[in-house]
Amino acid sequence: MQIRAPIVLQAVIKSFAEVVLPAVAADNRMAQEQAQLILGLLTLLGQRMPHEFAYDLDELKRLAALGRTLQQLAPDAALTSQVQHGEEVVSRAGASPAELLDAVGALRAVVGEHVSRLENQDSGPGAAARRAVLDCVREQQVRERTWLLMQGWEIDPSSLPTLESLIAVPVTGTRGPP
Amino acid sequence: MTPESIEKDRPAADWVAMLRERYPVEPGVDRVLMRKLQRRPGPAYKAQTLDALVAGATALIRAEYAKEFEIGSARWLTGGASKLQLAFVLRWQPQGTPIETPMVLRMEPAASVCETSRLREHQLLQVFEPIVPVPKPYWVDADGKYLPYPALIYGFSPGVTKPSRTTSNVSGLGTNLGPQLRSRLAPQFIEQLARIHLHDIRDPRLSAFTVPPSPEMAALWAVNWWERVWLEDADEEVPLMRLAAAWMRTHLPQTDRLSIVHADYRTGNFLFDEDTARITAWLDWELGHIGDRHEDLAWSMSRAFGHYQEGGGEFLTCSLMGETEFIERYQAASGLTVDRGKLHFYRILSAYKAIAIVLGAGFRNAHNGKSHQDVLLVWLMGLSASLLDELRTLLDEVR
Repeated sequence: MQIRAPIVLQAVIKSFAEVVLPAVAADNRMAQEQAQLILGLLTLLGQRMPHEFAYDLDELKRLAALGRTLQQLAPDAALTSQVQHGEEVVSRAGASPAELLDAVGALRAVVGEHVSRLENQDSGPGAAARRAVLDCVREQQVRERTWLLMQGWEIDPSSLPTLESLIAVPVTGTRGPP
Repeated sequence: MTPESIEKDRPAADWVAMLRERYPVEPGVDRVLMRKLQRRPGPAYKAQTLDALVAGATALIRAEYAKEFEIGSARWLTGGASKLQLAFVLRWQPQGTPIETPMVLRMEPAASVCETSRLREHQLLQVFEPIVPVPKPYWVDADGKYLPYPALIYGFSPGVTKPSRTTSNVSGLGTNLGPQLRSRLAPQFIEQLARIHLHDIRDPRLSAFTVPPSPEMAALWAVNWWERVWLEDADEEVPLMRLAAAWMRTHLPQTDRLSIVHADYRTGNFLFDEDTARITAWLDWELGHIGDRHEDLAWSMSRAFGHYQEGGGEFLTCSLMGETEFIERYQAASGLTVDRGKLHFYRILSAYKAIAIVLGAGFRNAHNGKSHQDVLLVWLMGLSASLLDELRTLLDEVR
């Protein structure tokens, strides 16, 4: 999946700065101001988005440490429970999104090389390997097509399942009530 | 060289040499692909002003036309995914009497999602001007001598690419022409494609083109062209593309008759008059080459360019007619046969080519900020998901 935030933001910022912003009427002061703010916020987003996961993990670690200190000074059941939960989440957050993406890329590359080698052999698991690749692609492409459904490329959008049913992870934030 | 060791944004000379040796293509295609890689480490696209392009167009026209002239009413055009386009009016006296001629300047960005030659496009327009409706070609700046990048100037053609009361995705993709226009445009679509394919490939005006030297070379050059683009440009490995390339290499069809191939013949690439339903111009000849007619037929039949008939009917090729009707009417109009096996090969190649363009070249050019509309290229990358599924389906049918 290649349409990711970094390249989207890079292209959007360039288009906005070079094409759209110069076309905003100079005497429309509110539009001018908001256009500059949009550009600034998109730039901030583009710069910081790659670090969001590390930022949140870092904060959670320090909050958990603070909570443990406070809990030792003045025990509190709710605090103890939430500190334990926080520490448990930290322990599970082993791989960063960047590491995950790197692993996907590396595995794609190796699989691609392997497929080429198999296709160039006269004997071996050719047919079965091809079948496995085609089956895997079918599953993956349902997900990619669903991911991009709003773009309007599908000739039969109703044939695609929901994203939630395909990737089986919650799409809402995990932050609890205040 | 492992994929991890290839720095595609700064291609090494030995890697480029390996690609050229392993994937030989038509010399004219090789030149533009080489130029692309040589320019790649260079600067991003520099935003152009109307004034700068008018000055460049003025310099080009002055070099070709000795009398007085004036350029006015310059404005940007949209529509294509690969080239920068500017409309203007030329006030001049080509026959001794002052006239105003609406024209279009069509210029490359720093790198294009379809890396092609303006000279080849200009020559094809010259050849086909009396044969099918095309914009009248005037001048070409093949090497960017007068303009910031290579460009050509042709006449402005009136018309629309889609009905004014309909919507479509970018670049005319997903256009629904509606039942009435469909029935009136379809015969022209077929008949004009036949005329293109029946034209003499030895036309002396096509000096920038090379005729494939053997019956299977047309297919091999086409596979090599797009595999090379994919390898040069793609960021993320896609194992299905490996599978497709390997299959095509072991199933290269022999061409029974060489034709001039438009190579982007589809709804969205012709203009028509809404009142008369007459096709007024065929655009985007940049990918044109000498090859197998099945390549054009297969490209037109891509799922990306059609839709299902209203109310749940059959799939309409280019929003015009069903696939069987398309083939039958083409055979009747051209007198040429359609081989289902060759057609399937070229449908696989068409899906592969489209993916190489939108996902490979689209990513690379947007990543390097090389075009005037990177945001459009990123949007188009999304089309690759359904194209990959089409490619998978086509490969599944031959397994």
